[in-house]
Amino acid sequence: MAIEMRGRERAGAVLWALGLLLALPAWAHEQSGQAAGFVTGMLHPISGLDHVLAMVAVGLWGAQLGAPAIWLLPVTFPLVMAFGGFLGLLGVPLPGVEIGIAVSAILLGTMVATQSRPPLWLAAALVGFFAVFHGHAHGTELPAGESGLLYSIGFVIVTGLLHATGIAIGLIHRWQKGRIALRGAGAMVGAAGVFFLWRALA
Amino acid sequence: MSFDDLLAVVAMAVLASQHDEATAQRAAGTLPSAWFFGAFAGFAAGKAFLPAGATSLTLLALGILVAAGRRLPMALVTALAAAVGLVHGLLNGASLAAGRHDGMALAGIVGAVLVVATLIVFPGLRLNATGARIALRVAGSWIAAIGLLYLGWAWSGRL
Repeated sequence: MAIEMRGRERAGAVLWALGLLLALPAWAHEQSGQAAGFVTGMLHPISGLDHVLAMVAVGLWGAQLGAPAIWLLPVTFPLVMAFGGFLGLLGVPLPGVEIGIAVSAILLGTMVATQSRPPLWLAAALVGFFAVFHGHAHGTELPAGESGLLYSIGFVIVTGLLHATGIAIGLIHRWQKGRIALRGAGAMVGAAGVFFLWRALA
Repeated sequence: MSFDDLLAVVAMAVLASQHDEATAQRAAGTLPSAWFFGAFAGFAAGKAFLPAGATSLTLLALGILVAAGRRLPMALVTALAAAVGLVHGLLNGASLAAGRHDGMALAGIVGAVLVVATLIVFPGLRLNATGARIALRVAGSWIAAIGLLYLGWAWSGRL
């Protein structure tokens, strides 16, 4: 035999094959009515431009700062955002959510536009602070009859993908002209933040 | 098996694959075994002794550990695999008993746990590229975030 297996490996292979067969009935039941929660959760983060711009700005700033911020910021954000959503679900009031989100776009845009390089802990704390507002705004809005778990999964995945989009755009940072374009993009996010702030206060 | 169960298996398997081979093997064996014992106990008793939202805590804890990416002692990883298996197994077993399923469904769940864990742990051990390790840690932070939101749903009684 070309492939020789020792007794222990063979026992493992048999056990695995048995597991594969046993696994079939577990998947054979469908979970109806849950897909709606997943899609609602996925669409939610992209339903507001203020949220989208702030998420992309987190990615842009991470890419500009380079390692380890490039992945530390997107790791910090979903966790703290979930904490904000958790507070929202428990009914803990958070005043000025719309203002907080608008200010986050202004500050994150300004950081990218000015290529600010604060200490890593400060950058993470800044991103984390505003993440609470973003999570609080989105955490509570689930239509009746949809799965909270699947809504949360869709919500977190799309938020992460928005960060990834920001990071991917931010990779133009390696070229001289790209650096200028990146700073311009940061300025645009900041300007949009000013508009959102005006709308929140008006 | 529901999505929170699946996420917990994925998170536990990724956590195991972040360790050395011996630790990973032991966790990959402990998880389905504990799941089986938990499911059997829940099935026999007809109740889980745990609130349904308890799984949010396993997702939160496992996600944070995966995101942290630190090496833990073998005993701790094994104990975690046992605890996760028991909690999810108990809930699965109780809901199978409530739904009047037979024991074959229980075997199916444990088989699925074994297969999903195996399919992630052993390829995961071979991942050496820094980018891949970081991607796994990012996935851990997503799972922790999902667990925290799920805890919020459970706590507010809107599951």
